[in-house]
Amino acid sequence: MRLRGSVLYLLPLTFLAIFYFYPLLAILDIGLRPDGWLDLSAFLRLLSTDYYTGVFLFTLYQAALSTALTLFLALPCAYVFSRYRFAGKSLLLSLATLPFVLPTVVVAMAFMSLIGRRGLVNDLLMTLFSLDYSPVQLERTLAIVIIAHVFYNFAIALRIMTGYWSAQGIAAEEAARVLGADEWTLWRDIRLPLIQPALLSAGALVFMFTFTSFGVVLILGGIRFATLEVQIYYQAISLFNLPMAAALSLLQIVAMFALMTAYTHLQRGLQSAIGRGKTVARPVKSPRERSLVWGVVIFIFALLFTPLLALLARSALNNGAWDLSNYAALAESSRGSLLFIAPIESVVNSLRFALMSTGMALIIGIIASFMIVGPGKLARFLDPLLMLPLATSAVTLGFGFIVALDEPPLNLRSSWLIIPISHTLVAFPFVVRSVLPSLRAIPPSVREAAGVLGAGPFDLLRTIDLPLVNRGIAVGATFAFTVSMGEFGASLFIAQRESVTIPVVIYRLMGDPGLASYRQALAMSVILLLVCALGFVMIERLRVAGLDEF
Amino acid sequence: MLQLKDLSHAYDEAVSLRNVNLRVAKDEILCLLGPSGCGKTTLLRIVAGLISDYGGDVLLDGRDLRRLAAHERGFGLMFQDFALFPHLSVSDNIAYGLRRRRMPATDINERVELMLDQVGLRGYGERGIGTLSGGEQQRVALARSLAPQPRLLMLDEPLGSLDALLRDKLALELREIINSAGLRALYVTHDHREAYAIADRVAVMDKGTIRQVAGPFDLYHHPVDEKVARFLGFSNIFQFGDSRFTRELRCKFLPDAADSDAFLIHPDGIQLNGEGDPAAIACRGRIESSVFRGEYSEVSIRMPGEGLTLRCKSRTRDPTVGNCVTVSVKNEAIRRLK
Repeated sequence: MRLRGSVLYLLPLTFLAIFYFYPLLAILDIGLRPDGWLDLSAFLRLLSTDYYTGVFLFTLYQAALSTALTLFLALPCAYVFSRYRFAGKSLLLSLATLPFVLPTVVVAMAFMSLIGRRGLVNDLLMTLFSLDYSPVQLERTLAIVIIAHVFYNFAIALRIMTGYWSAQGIAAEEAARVLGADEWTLWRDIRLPLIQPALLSAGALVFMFTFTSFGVVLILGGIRFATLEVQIYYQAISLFNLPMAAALSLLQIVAMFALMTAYTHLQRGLQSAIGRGKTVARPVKSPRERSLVWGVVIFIFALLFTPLLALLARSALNNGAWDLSNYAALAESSRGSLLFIAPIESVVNSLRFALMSTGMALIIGIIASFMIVGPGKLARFLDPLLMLPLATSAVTLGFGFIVALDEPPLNLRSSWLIIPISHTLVAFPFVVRSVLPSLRAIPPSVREAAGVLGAGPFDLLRTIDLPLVNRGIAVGATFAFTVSMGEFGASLFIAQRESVTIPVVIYRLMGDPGLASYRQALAMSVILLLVCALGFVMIERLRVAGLDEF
Repeated sequence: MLQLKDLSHAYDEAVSLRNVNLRVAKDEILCLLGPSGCGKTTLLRIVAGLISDYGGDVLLDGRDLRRLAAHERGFGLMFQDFALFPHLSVSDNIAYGLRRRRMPATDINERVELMLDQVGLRGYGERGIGTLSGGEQQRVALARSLAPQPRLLMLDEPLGSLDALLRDKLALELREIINSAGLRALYVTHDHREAYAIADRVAVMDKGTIRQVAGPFDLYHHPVDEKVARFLGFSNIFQFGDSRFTRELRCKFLPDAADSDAFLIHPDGIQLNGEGDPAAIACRGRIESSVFRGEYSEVSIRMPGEGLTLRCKSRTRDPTVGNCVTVSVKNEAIRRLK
């Protein structure tokens, strides 16, 4: 009845084979056989050199620290969100997920605008106390990296925990209260044990994200705080030590798959436990509760929105006056810069690539979704297979591209096509994740009813399937578009002189010590922020309640 | 005529249909009656073309349907959950089958209006599916499957998800609409009262086989075996050798029956305190329980020394538990079961 057996089904698999598995194999090849025969020296060096073990341990350490801090801050907020009803709660919860679609370069710029050397806080302190140096020195420290990680992941942890807590109800808590438990005992014996599955699941997810964090660490931390991701980039691009970069990539891949497995396992426990209770949020009554709610709202606002507002302000604030000269400067190619084009041209590049990636991601993602819900044993194993690109870091993908696709028959190294292709690889899992829930929600009987009424396979697709999943498709398309607009890790590897995208341009401008470049970087970041925020608003408006798999 | 010949089907290992033979004549409503899991829905899905890995043949007017896909058969199927298209209006739902047949738009509109009239939903055309009540959705589903004038209409527990009051009302309407459309219909239900009300003939199914095919009246009065009798809600099923009382019944009414033969005492021929009928056999017992059901009370009477319990209806006020009563069984109440 469906597209079963059609050649169309080969498309996603072929795409994955050529642009995912082949590059990974190429990395494996370079790591294990750099000169054509088996040579494990890169691995041995990786395992025996203190520097590299240090890199690995630091990657774990910063991820653990970010995760712990994120959970620690999200837990009380989730408690307040699940227990109290207050005006603007769902709006705030939804706005809090904005960072999810923000490109790393934008977030990095936002934090620089707030607490960086030339940030608003330093400006303010310097003016207030007539200082001639910047008192807040957070740039290139671990602290600013961790803060940015919390910024990114706070909402994910908040959403998972709030959802879980709300679904659980307060029956157990009330029972314990009646049996004589005080507030402290409630936390120790009831609330924390009950929230534990959500805590673990959110923790695993945050750990995964921060473990592979690239842009934030590279821009805010610098090479001194190199994680595996940054080290891969550094070894491949700066030192051109491909075997070492490959060895690091393989280590990264293995670690990610272990984390992914752990996460899927934890998440399964989360799903089976959800939906037993009913929502328990009640209006705020006492002054204590009111201050609790206000505290949470102000905290979330401070964490999530002040950096973005600082970026907006900084981009239009020059020498204490408001103007748009930074934006006007985007058409100028700054002298002696690392760029070969005027910054504004990268906007055209990015839009062009994003549209192409969205188109390709939609085609591949929609076909893949139909394959997954399709009949047969193949479908069950397809779902995780098609999600592999999500579990692979962008830097690894980018590195794989440059080592695999640089010689005939697939010499795409110098073609701009390589960029939309890499973005498609990163974006199509988002399409699958958006389309699948609505596709799965179509009852089989509805399809059968159409069939009995005379709809052939094509009619079925046109009149039933596509109209019923069009919201999911729109969400997926918007995701794909914003992901492509903001993609940094892979693009940094593969973008060539004329085909650089906005995030790459921002990164290059930031590397330039001149004030003019800094201002251009600010303006570019705001443009990217607005595009992604627009995408975010569309996603939030289109999203069908209860039908997302993120 | 729709003809099923030696129809068999299995889901993996579990057999769902075993050598089913059945005919549905033109202008006939045939009910498939049976408990859930008896294979009646599977049978329907095979006829509809939704299941293709079956054994045996499905013939329509002598033509084998095996190679015809569901969308090429021109049948109507009404689903238990109605399976309405949530993204289409009431009119568009009803017009769906007509559009697939490439009917001209004006004819479609005309037909849709007619169907809306027929199912009592005039003026509902532009409504969304989500705004309808259960009963209204049921009518839309019926209209949708009737609109293309199918050669065969199949209904899979179409009243199953509705509440009892609505069910009785709609069952009558359904029969009227199907009859007035002059359709051949296969109607699946697990409710024998619904089957009585709707069917011209009833096929009782159990574990993938057909145990009896009969008109509702014959089925009610002459269930063929114990399974069928129990499924139709009858109690008082015994073997003649069970007790002194049952042997007495055999001697008087069915002398050629064996001790191991099962029989049913039909509720229409059993009476409480019905003395004075010389053709009846009476027996004394004690009222063990009594459940008030409205127009009657359902009374269980324990026969001391007999080791059996009779159930019968009482229309007198409040049969008192513990009282001794006489039960009389008439000749015509005894039905031998296979």
